[in-house]
Amino acid sequence: MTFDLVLSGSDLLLLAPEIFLTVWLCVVLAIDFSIKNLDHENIAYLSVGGVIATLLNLLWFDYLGVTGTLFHDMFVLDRLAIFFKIFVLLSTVLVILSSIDYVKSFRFFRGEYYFLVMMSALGMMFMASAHDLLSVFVTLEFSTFGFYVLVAYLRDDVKSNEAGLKFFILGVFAAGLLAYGVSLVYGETGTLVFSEMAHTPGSYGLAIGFLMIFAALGFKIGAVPFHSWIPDTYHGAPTPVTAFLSIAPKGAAMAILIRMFYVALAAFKPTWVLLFVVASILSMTYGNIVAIAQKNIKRLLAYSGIAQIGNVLIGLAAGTKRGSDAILFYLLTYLFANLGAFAVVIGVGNLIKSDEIEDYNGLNRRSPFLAAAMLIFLLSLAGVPPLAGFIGKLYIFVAAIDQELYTLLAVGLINIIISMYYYLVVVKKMYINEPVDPSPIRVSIPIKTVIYVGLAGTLILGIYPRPFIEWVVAATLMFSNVTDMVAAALPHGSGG
Amino acid sequence: MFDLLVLLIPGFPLVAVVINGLLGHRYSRELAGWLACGAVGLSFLCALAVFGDILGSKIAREVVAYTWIVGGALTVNLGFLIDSLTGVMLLVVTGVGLLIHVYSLGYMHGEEGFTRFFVYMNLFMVSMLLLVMGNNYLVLFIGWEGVGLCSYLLIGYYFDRISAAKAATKAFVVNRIGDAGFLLAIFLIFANFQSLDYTQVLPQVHRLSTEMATAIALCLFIGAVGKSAQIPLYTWLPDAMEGPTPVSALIHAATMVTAGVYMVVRNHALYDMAPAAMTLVGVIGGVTALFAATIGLVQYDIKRVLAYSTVSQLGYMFLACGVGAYIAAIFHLVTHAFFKALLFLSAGSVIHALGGEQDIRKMGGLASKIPLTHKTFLVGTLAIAGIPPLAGFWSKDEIMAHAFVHGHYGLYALAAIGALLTAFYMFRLTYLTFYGTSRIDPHVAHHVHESPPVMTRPLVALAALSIVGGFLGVPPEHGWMHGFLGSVVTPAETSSHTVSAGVMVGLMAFAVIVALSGWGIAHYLYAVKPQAADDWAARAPRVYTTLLNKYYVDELYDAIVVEPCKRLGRSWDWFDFHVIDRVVRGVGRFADVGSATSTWIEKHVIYGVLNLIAYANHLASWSWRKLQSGLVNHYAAVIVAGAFLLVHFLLVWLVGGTRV
Amino acid sequence: MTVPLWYYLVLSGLIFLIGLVGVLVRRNIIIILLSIELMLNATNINFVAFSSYLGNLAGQVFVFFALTVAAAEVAVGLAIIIALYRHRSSINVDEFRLLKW
Repeated sequence: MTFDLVLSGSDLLLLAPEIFLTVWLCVVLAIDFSIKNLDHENIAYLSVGGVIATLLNLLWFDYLGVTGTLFHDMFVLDRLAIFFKIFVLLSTVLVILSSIDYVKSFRFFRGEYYFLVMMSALGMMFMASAHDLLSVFVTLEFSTFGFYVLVAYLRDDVKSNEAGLKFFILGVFAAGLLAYGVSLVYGETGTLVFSEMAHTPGSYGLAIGFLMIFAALGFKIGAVPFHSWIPDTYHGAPTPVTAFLSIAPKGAAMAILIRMFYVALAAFKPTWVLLFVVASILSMTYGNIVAIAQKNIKRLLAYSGIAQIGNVLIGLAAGTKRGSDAILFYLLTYLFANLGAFAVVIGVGNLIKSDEIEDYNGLNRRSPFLAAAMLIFLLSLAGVPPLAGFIGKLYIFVAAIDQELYTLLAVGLINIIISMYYYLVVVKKMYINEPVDPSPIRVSIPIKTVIYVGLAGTLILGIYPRPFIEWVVAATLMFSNVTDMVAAALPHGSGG
Repeated sequence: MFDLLVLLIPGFPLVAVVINGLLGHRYSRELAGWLACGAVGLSFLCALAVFGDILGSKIAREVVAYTWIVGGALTVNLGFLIDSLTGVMLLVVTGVGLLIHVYSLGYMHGEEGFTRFFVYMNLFMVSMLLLVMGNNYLVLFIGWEGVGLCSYLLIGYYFDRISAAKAATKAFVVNRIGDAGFLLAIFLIFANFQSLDYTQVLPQVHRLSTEMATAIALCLFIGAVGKSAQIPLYTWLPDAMEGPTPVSALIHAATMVTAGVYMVVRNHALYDMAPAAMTLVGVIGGVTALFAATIGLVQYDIKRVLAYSTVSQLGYMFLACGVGAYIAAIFHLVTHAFFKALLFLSAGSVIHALGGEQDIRKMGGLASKIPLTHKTFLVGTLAIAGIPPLAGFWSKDEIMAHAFVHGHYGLYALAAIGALLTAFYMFRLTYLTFYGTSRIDPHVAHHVHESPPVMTRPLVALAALSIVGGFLGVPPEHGWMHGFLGSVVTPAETSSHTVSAGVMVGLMAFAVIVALSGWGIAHYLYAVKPQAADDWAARAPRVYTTLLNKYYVDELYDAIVVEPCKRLGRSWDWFDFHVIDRVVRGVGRFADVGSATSTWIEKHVIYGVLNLIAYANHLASWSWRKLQSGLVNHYAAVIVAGAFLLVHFLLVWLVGGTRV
Repeated sequence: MTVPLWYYLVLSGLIFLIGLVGVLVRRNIIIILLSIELMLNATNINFVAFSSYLGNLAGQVFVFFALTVAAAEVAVGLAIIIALYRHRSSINVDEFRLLKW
């Protein structure tokens, strides 16, 4: 392998969104440093502008069909990568908007907050393009560093510090597992690039190596048994950071998982299907059951997120093109419903300074808008038609049926019932209980915007999902032969 | 033109939902109410026009609004199938719905959240119309969930009542159990046919094996059991009476709860393939019919008696499906919609007159004070009790006769006893409410007044329908209804059991005798010798209290399902902390394992098991604190343990002989 | 005489295990951080050994990145530890169990 670095202008074009965002966030940081007494809101809107410009750039790429690879296949820009970059940037925009009020309560480092958010987003954009294990390791750590700082951002708040500590130790620990796993895989295959591994023979070293990598990515997405950091970190982190953490890294890590298992390990599908079946059943069941006992809305959403990831893993367990379509669509529905729900939590939390579910009593009297929005988001998360979450679950389950994973289907359906229970507890508190303090809650315009975007997404993806389905189907077009690859690998196998 | 009319049927209420929902607070509540009623009225007119069209052409037509879901093999349209079955359901839903909307204008007058009420009601109409009009299972399912959601919102309408909140949650969660079955059925259908359209699936069902057909039919039936409140998922319906009375009439009597019957009839081809499933449907229906009737005997809440009677009558419809009398099931669905809506609205009028009183022990002698309500209620009672020639007689008799003629004597017996009890408790209700001496609270008594015309006119209309509605199906098995529905619902057995007219007349006569005896007993107990009823109750106290407590089913469900689920959530964390963490710590420290283990087991496992079994009260409080240990090392340990288990699992599996 | 590959693998495996157990059982945050560094360094031994054995440079490149990442981790980690120390005057993880239910 040689490391000649020949870059032409057209190669750099593939990196244009990342380069633009890098420059932009440096500019934002510089402006924040150099102009004294600049209101942090201006920094926020400046950041949003940059992220939206990057988003438009990517949409344009998607429209033109720009694809290509860079740096010896380490960086790949295909429609899957573009989808996940858009996914990450969309959540970044919504998170920045919902942060604005929250950041007002910081005593210092207001401007840097947006810089760190964009920095993490940049890392996750690279994650979406990672096509070998070295870039997986580097981009994963790159995006997580921003989060370590963001989670512990409230320097005077013990909870935030503690959440940061736990997230940091476990995150670095997971990075250790990841690196060791990569070293084993490298030793067995002699390469780090996914597509070059596709035809290596199986071995225990490879299996253990990939399991360790899966542990690190499972940690990122919060799948049981790698979930243990999720509740505490979600609870202690500043709420907008929790919102960001609950969606963007999951999407980016899912991009890597799909690439790794569909490209590098397609030949071993019969083995890893079982892995995902187990992880999915564990995540759904554990997440939903423990969520019942929660009293803090952030912890509730944390556990509900664990359960939702269990649903997403059903798509990976299916291991087909249709499975990956379903994952992408499901993540989109989750983005709107979950960020919407968090926006409500932020809106309420900013005023009443509490995230306890008890304090949502009678929210309907205090702010009918927030209560109705929360109702719709929770129902979408629970999978009630015709909201987005229902279509997402439908797709996931249809993918599972295709592969005759009936056990998984049955467990999934039972879990839908369980999840209904705790979502309804919140709804009941909002609509039926008496508020302790009936003073109305006013919602600021940025948060209202986020909630409206969430509502629009949740309704449109439910009622007219067709263009979005066509989009995700196009994004995973390269996997349309994934079943053929398995079939080609199987004949000499002993019964797969 | 036809297409447009079809789209407008759910379209009008939908527009009203959007307008009232977004702008309702800008204009007067009266306007909002009339807008809602007007939308349903227009939708009724469209339904009439569509119905007239089917009446002439008798062909099923599909109308596609747009392609909803595309992707891979799954293509689903938001489309409507208009045939005679849908036509009948459309008229019932929009017609009865319109009357109840108009009634609500009077009944809900002065309630807080008047506009909100009508938004929910219109949303319910949209969902219910989607449910009966959809041309595929997914649209049916949206409607199915939509009506469930509206039912939830409307049961919990009086949010200042805790009981209403609990009832609403219960209804929704119980319904979700049924929905899971329904969803499973949808997925099985998709797996077998690669399509969800009725026109693709139903003509092809003969390709299924009997086992698969039975599985799908049973899964669908689980859904129907939840929605239509049959054993064992009926418990939510009586509690649902916490909602406003028009809601009980529309959703929990006339339309939503009959959705299960509609679904079974719609899929009758599938059930014909699965005799075992049909038997189960019949038995569940028959047993529910009798079971709910026995509970209805002793209840004191006027709406609860009617609720149990609804459960019981729905049982008759399923019994009809179970014996293959699908047209009779729909016929009973229609007549039941008339007389049960009438009974509920009349009961609402009584409650309105008494300023909210629902306990029949505090009524009596109302016949002279609210004469019109009395008359309409009496019509409803006669109709449901099966006194000819009112509507209930014809439909119920047809179900029972069909069961008898086709040799289902056991079911016939259940139905006959149920009919006797039905006549009894309905007349008991009538006597206690309208006759005898007044037991009304004197403070309330001088306020008693007849309801305003906006409420009584719908009562009169429904009473008229309850009287003449039965003639749609006369003569039995060859009436207008049978000819009309015959094109869609072809009876399973083509070999017609030719029954002599004598047997038919005999069965009718017997049915009349049963109904009259029920009336007679009620008359004796509550008019001739009022203290006799208490004597009877005192003589068999255990039976009486069992019935009064509804066979303790709610308590049973609480004990075996609800509580353990809640506990599991907490004890799981306890397990996490005490078992996993201790194990990990034990491994980490290496030492003292041996001696510590036995004491540890004694202290934690045995204690824990005892706790789990006993659900000791304090368990909840202290296990709460142990949800997650909070120690970061333990979290890392969980990750390692998980990874280790996965590696182990995978290696074992690999050694098991499969390639990597 | 060259040292066989498996010598390196056993060494790195042992170091990795020591680091792993350290994370699980130690309570001092600095020691936990050092244990994680041990895990990362075990990885580096693996990479260098494999790289030399396979005659492939990619492994050594990975080591450079791993070192950089480890350095950054320490920087962020120490900052968090200092913030914690200000609150509790302790860097024992037992002290930080506020978030647990």
